[in-house]
Order: sequence, then C-alpha cells, then structure tokens
Amino acid sequence: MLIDKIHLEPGEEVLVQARRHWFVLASRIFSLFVAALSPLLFLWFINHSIIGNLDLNINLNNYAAEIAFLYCLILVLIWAAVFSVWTNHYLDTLTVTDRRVILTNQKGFFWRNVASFRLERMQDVNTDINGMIATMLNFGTIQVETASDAEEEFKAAHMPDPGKIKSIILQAADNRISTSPNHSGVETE
Amino acid sequence: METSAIINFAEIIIYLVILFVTLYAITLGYHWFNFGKSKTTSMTALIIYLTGSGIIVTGLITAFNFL
Repeated sequence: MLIDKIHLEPGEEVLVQARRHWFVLASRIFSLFVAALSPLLFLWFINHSIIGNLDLNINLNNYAAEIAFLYCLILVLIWAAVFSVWTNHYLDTLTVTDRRVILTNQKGFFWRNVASFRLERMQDVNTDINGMIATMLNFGTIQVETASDAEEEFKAAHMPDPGKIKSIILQAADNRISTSPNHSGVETE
Repeated sequence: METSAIINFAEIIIYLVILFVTLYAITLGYHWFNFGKSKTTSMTALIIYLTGSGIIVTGLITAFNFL
C-alpha cells in the first residue's frame, strides 16, 4: 500500500495525509458525464432538426442497432476515462511527516512522480486560494520554497484546507529544527 | 456480402473491447492495490469498474446480435 511505498524512516510519524479536494474530481467526472450524453443529444438534434426540416427520407429507427453499437463503444472509452481520472485523483497525495514532506503525483498509468524534502530545508510556505468556488469550498495551492538550487518549486494544487496543512507543516518544521542537534537544521558530528 | 463484412468487423471490435477492458482492469487493480491507501477502497473501485464495463459490454453484444 501507499505507506509501504513511501518507505518511512524508523521512528518517522505521519502527521497528515491529504488528497486533492473532491470538487476537482467531481467536476472532471461531470464533464465526462456530459461527454457521454452528448452523442444522444446530437442524435436527437439530427433527428428532429436536420432530418425533419430537410424532409429527408431517413428513419433512424432502422439503424438503432448500429447506433447502439457505436454508442456502447463510446461509453467504453468514457468509462475508462472516468477511472483514469479517479485513479490519478486518488493516487495523488500530500504526506507530511515529522521529518519531511512528500508529494506523490500520479501523472498517468505507469508514470509516477514522488517529490520530497526535509523540513530542515524548508524556507517558506505559501497558500493560494483563487476563485469563488475555491474560496467557498476552501481549497487551494500550497507552495513551499526550499533551500535548493532546483528551479522547480514544490507545489501541491487543489488541496483542501490549505491553511491547516500549512500550519501543520510550519509546526512540524519548528519542532524538527528545535530538536535537531545544533538547532540549525544541519546535523554535524 | 457487405453486411457480413460489417458483422465480422463488429465481432472483431467486440473481442478487442473485451481485451481492452480486461487489460485496463488489471492496470487499475495494479495501481489501486499497489499505491492506494485502503484495500477496501481499491476493491470497491475495481468492482465498480468491472460492473460498469460488464453492463456496457453486454449492451455491445446485444446490439451486435441485432445487426
């Protein structure tokens, strides 16, 4: 399972594990639901508007089996897309332990990115809640700046209650720094 | 002649769809059980996928029988 894949250090404790907000998943699945209905709406439009108005001698009922067959093919693909979206959502996690922060990003099937940094190297944590729905449902982006030369920032988007997660990270970082040997975040002999 | 060619093509499509659904289910199961947090959730997701796919494939075969 996920905890086994993260390979926690001896004595390391998980403080919080968060996934993207449910609204993100719901909106994507809703768009796929609309995509699943659109062929039926298109057929209805063709039957009532184009065929009716142009007086074409075509009866779509004669092709019901073919239409049903093609529609089932479309549904197979959309059903697979729904579960692709759900899998990517479910396997994207932000894990905060008492020693580090781990961001797991499932970009696709057999494509997984795991980024982590130690709390001692954290310099700043910012949150960004943008938009009316994000404000009402309280989800947003958590951005962490680390003492690293890497240009890519540590960013977790669409996280629920980013303020609370930010406070947990800051508290964990303070505790880590205060308990480290020379209080500077750098272990020396 | 043309109708039989369409029916043969549709039959091949059905076999490919069943193959696709099977491979996709294996892929989903691998990811959910390997990287998921809860085995119960993973099993639920897999059952939902297989049930929905079964319904769709049944519809596909039913439509094929009326071709």
